[in-house]
Amino acid sequence: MTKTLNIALAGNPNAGKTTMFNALTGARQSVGNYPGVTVEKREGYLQADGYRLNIVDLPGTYSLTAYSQEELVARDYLVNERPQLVIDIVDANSLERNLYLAVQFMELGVPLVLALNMMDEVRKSGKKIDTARLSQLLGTPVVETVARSGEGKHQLIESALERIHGDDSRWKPLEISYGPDIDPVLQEMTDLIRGAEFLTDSYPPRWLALKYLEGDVQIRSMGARAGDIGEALERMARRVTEHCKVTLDTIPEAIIADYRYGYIASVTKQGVLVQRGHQERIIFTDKIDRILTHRFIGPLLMVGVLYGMFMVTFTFGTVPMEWLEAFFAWLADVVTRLTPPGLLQSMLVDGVIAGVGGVLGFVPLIMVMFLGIAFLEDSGYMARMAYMMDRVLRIFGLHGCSVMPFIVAGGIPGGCAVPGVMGARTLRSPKEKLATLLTAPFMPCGAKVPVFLLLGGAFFKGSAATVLFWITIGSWMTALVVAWVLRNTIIRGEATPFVMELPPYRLPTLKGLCIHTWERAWQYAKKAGTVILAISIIIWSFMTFPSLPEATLQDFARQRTAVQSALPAKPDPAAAAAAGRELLRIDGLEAEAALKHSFAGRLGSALESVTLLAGFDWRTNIALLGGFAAKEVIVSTLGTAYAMSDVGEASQGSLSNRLRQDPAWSRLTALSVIIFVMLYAPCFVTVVAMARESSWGWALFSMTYTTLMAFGLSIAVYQVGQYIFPS
Amino acid sequence: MQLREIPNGERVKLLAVDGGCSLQCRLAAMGLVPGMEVTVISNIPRRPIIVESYGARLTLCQKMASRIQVLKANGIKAVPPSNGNGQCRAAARSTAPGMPCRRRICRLREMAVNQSGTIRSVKAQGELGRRIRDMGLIPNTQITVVGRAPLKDPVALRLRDFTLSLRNNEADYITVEVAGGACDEDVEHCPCR
Repeated sequence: MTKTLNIALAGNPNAGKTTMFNALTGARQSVGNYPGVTVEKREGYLQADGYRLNIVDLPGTYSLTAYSQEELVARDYLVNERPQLVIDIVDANSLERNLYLAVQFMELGVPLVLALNMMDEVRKSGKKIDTARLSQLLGTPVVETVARSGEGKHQLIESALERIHGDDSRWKPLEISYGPDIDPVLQEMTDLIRGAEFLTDSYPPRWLALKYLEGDVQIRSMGARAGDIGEALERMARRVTEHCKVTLDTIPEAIIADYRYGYIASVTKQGVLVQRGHQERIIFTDKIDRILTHRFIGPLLMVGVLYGMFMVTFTFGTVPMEWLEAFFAWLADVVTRLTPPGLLQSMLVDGVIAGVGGVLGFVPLIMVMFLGIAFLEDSGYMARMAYMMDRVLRIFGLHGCSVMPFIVAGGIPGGCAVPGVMGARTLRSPKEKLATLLTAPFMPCGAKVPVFLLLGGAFFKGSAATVLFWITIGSWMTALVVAWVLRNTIIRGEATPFVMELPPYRLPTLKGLCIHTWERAWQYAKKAGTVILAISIIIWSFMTFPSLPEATLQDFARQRTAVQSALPAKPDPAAAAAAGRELLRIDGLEAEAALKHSFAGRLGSALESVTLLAGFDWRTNIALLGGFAAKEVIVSTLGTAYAMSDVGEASQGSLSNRLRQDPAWSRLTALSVIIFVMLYAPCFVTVVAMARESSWGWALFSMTYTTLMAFGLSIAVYQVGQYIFPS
Repeated sequence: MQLREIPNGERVKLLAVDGGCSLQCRLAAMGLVPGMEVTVISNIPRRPIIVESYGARLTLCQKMASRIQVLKANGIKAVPPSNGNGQCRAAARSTAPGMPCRRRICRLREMAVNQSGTIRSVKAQGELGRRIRDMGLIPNTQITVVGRAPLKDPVALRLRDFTLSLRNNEADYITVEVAGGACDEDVEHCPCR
């Protein structure tokens, strides 16, 4: 039986932690160059020396405070799970800042091995790091690695095992002096904690005292629950804070950070780090940045990059998408032939295959889109986009990074809200992310465009481009204004600090890109098999049951027979064609009747009394209800409701004619419907994606508020319009 | 010609400073004395001018630069007469550290692109303060402003060996002692006003 050892991988974002994780375990997992891609805990396995090494990839953090979710996750894992060892992946290019985290690990006392990563870049830059000296001064093994090529990973594992088996495998907290203002009280607090045995089985006493002085929320709330000891510690911490305020005009937290960096400097200055001039990579990055973030050229290039990515996605993505659609059409055909006509066939073909097929059809699109996003992230350009856009988006309570999800969701008409919502995960700040998630679906996605084109073509005698242009402008404005309102009401709160690293430009590794893309596409496809399948069946049954009563069905059957029997005995092409049209008309009428009779139809009719306020009759209601399944359904359902048996691309013109002639439709109705479609609930695939990225509560909230808002606006436009232009 | 008319990258020799003793002293304290050569690093209309002399970068506002007479370096033959500044230069030397007209500490927001300095204080508290410190922005750290976003906000900084960006309202919590002169047209206390 092999023994299992737990090893945690920790380090700054962009230090190559995830790349090292891939190199060690070969597991599928995402790699990013954008601060903080890995938010989830990921595990991998490795066999070495007869041991099974269980490796956990902790989220990238700059520190071990309790402010961000990532930091809490990392800290709690270390304290509660007590891994045998932590491997701290250090970006050797910026050794000092990276050691700040390492020092905090050492203060916590976990057995540590430092991996000085990206040593190839350091060697090229002419900088010198004396690894042996560093190891000696810190009292911890240090290994030079290059995660991209896998260099040094065997030595890393060897050192790790050596450290675990060495004599000093127990937790031994490092004690740094924090100067005359902090040290005495720190000692006092440490003694008090040790005496009262406050949390001492999990944390070193001095570390706890330090956290009190740093005002750590998590530890203080634990202290508050412990009673007296907590109060005593609070009092002491307050005393020091006041003392520092009065004598030094600063706070203990700042002094502690200063001394920590001082400790690091005292280590690196003892011949560990010899720097010569600027690093090549930084100079190279500066040169690129001078163009890419230039005042005028920068934003233009960004628009170009976004537009280019958009074009690539919808040019290359649609080809395999058509293959998939063809495949599902073929599958539907086969199933139709193999199963007897009836409810089962209808459910399989119209419910399951149409629903899941429609959703899986997005997979190629999502893969291409994410390949693009992964490239922008890993190369470091995404951080620059956030940097350039932040000033504008901040006005609306969003973050610079929100621009990406907006564009992908349809900021350029024709996008798709699903990858847009999934793209919002690159936002590190929770509030801004939520606001982005909730507003990105306002964008005119590819499925809404046919509705706009249909109604625009039928009622607004302008070019389709003009209609789309104004709709796009309207969508952007709505999204931004709603984001602003949300951020000032229910998602209120200070903007999350923007302080963000601008990582040097790097060419992403193909392996990293593929793993990244594959993982996201797979997550999406898995959803299609579960939640989306269930919802497809529900929506299908909603539009099918109850079926028409026997008498009505027989009535339609009689009409058909009448047409067929009326055909003359002699073959007459003209008469046959006329009969064929007549049969199609009857089919259409039957479908219309069936739809009206179904739950969806009844709901549509029942809602009519309310929806007429906005000018929607029962037919429009059903189409809009169907649009919740997928916005593509709106046009086809309208077709069915208007008894057009087959509404394809070709017959769209006739549907628009039909609408124009219908007395229930006017320009005002069309405008009202356009506004409603523009704003109402996102399709259910988007809702599922949204729930994944936030929670079901927020996803349901999004459905409700968008629909209410859309309906309110539609009513307003329709009523005011009727008042101004009475027909 | 005036310093403000010199395009980027041009090397020039300082001829004279048209201004009162206060301005001359201030420039002298920054190391800009007639007779010396400087290179114009950045000269964009309505933005502070950045010049380099002996490896140090100095920032001057346009108004100040319009009072500095220079000669293009390639045409220089002899040291032109200095404009009666002997007394001032001496004064500058003796009083430079505590000169009243010298304003070297400014907020990070006020720094110009390519200007360097040393952080003097970080007043931010709470989450922002911690994030700033975690990134290594602590007193005595050398920083250089490497860029500003198209709408001048956020600002990009180089410190130690990496680049990071933060918003102007976050930069307000950080004060910096700038290397060379501190003069930006947004600064109220510019002596040339």
